Amino acid sequence: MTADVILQALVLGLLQGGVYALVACGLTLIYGVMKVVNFAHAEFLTLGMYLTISAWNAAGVSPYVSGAFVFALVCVLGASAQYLVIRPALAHPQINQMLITIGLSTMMIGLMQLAWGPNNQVLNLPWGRATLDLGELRITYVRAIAFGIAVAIATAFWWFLKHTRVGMAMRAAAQNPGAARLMGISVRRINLVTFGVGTGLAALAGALIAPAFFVNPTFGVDHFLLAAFVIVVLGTMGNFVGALIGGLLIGVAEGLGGLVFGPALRQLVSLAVFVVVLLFLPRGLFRGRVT
Amino acid sequence: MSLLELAGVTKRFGGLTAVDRVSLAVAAGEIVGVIGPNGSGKTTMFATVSGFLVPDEGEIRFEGRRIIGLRPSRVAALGIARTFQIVQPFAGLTVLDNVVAGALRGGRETLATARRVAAEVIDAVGLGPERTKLAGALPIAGRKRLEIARALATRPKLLLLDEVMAGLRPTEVDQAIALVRRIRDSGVTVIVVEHLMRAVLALSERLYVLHHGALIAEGEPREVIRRPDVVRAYFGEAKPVA
Amino acid sequence: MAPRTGFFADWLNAQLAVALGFVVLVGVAGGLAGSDYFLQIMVLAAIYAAMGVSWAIAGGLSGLLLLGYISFFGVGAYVDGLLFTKYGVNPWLCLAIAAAVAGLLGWLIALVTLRFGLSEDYFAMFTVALSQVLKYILLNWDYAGRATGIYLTVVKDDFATMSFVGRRPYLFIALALLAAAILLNYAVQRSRFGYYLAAVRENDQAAEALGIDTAAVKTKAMVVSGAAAGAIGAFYCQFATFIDPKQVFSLATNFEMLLGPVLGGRLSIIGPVFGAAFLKPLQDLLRGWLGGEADALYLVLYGLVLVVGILLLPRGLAAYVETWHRRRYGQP
Repeated sequence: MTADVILQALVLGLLQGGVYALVACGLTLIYGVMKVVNFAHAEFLTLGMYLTISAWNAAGVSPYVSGAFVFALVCVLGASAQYLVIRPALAHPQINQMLITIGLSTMMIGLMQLAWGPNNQVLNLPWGRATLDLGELRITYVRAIAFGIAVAIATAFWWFLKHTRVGMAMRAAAQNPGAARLMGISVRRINLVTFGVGTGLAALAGALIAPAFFVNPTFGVDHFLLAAFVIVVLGTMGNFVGALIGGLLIGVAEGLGGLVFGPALRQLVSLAVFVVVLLFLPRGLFRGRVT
Repeated sequence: MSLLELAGVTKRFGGLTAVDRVSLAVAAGEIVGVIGPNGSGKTTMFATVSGFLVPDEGEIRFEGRRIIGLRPSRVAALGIARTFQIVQPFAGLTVLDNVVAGALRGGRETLATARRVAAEVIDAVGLGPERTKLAGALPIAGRKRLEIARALATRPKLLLLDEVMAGLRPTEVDQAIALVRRIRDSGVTVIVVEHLMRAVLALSERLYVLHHGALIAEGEPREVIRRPDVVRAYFGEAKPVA
Repeated sequence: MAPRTGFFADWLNAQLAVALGFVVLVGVAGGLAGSDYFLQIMVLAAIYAAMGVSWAIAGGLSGLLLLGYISFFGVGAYVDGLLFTKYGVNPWLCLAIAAAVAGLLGWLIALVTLRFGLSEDYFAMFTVALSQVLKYILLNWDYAGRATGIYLTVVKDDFATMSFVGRRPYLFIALALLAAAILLNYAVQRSRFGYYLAAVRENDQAAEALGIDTAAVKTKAMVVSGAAAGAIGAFYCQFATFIDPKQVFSLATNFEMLLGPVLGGRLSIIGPVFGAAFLKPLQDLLRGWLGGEADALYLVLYGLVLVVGILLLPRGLAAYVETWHRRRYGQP
């Protein structure tokens, strides 16, 4: 195992981590504001991939363009799901909420399979396999771009949370919904927006990785859900910066783990980290709320 | 020997000292009152005694033994029962089942005994007719009585009552005062945290006053409440109560 | 209105009678009725029902957010599979051993999560993650057959080794296990332990203040629920004659098993029983009819039932039946 091989795994892991971070940001936002564990989160990523692929196949629209529309569309879809399915359950016991998101996940997988079929699909960009060679290091452009945009968007969203009125309203609702209401913030509307945006971010991540992966209806849950949860807990539930950094960390950990244990056991690395973090660092590496 | 003894108990939350070197003693058979403005640390003090919070400094002794660090159920098993300022009924259970849960005394009583004791205690607090009602359906006065009944059913030696009069109508307050006296007469030592002066003066044999977590006065109730520092604590400016 | 009396006046008694009566009914039906296909469905329904009733002790009565329950089932299945195929241990004995091992796992989980003070959400995720960790461990364990799993060969009927050619004997055993689970749940609810569970569920701070050691109660609940699932898992191994990690640690199966108690009413006995009795066969039949490509349609329907069911019946159907029962038998 040479240094080059390790570096390659590390860099690839880092690139993957950027996308993980974007997905985790959405998940942690939803938990931070609504205290809902969104088990259906990965399905929105898969949906984003499918929509992007369809746009490409139908009209040759580049994923980097359709991504914006996919984001907007899924924001609306996510918000609708929140309104119809999750909002009524917010007053119910936790287990109900969790099972509802699981039911939502199952429905979405079924619907996506009905719409697009069970077989693998991919977005074949003409330059999709082109690589950037830096010495011994070889990375595909699509992954590098996915990483760049993902991190940029996550950072932009962090700025949005800190400096815009809606962002601050979200943070207020996350910290103390009662007080937020008393200050005139419509927590109901914030929940809608939060869920919409959170799932939209996942879909956007899907748009970014569509050129790099084969998608099938269970792609999201198979490859991203676990990592997303690990990252959210590691980065402290509700902490945006934590999700960002945690995403990169997990990406690298999985990359190296895959190298050491073999690709089939990559997920075991995440699982192991998950269990360890849940036990020893349930508050994650960072502190407190949506920041 | 005192039944309960606090020596220099201090509890901090970050920068806030909620309980500041409080020392007090309660003898068996007394009714002791603890008063103080909101935020003076009364409930926090109860929480340290009952084991829900661990003090940062100081000693707490019950019947001579140290009880700091014991989990709340252990403290309850030793004979300290408490009510909560915001009542915590088992809303989905009946009044009877609520009290039976206490009467079981953590497994030291059989179900049969517990049910019998529970029925007696329920009658003693005046909740007999509501026995089979769901606790969640009781009005606030009923829930307060239930809270007391449940604590009583554990047959405690010491009962910590946290603002049980809050939210009660004047006639209900009279009933509550009579009930607390009956409780003491049955052999239970009582510490009453209260805002309502009428109840405090009616019940307490001795009075402690807390302010910003610290003990600022102690003694005979009617005399204590007239002291300038106590008045100042409540009203800000020195103005005699009456 | 004076309360009516009689055996059925008590909600728990009424449930016990109805649930056991139902088990007997199914037994008779199974004894008479036909095809292996239907018997297979009935056995699985009985297994799901038993799992639901057992889960309800820790997840319903105690209020623990025990989202990942299949760990115990899978462990039980493998205990039986390994002990039986490798050492020829009698499967009837394996049921007991599997229960003990699964109970131990429950104890460990409780110890660890209580020691580290995990909050509800984290506890839920931990139990789910644990099931997948176990799956991964077994997928990579040569001794347990890795992905291939464990096979049992059944040549002829042999009661001593719980091996049967037809499905019917398995149904009777499954129903016996279900009856045992029902009785266990009933006994728990009748006992002092039942009071502690209810107190901890309703308000664990208040429970502590009454001298109830909530940590011990939660631990015991995990052990009991875990052990029961272990025994059921062991039986499953004998019945299915083939187990592999993806099957017995499947998250999909895990959540399917929770449907019965959640939609049926997790504080009740009849809820999990009838929930599984209705939903599992429905699920199997739907899958059978729709099958193949229409698997997608099945997923949509299943998800929809789950979502709508929970929204319409947040406390489960049995909770409403209980309210009716209260009114009918004179409680205010």
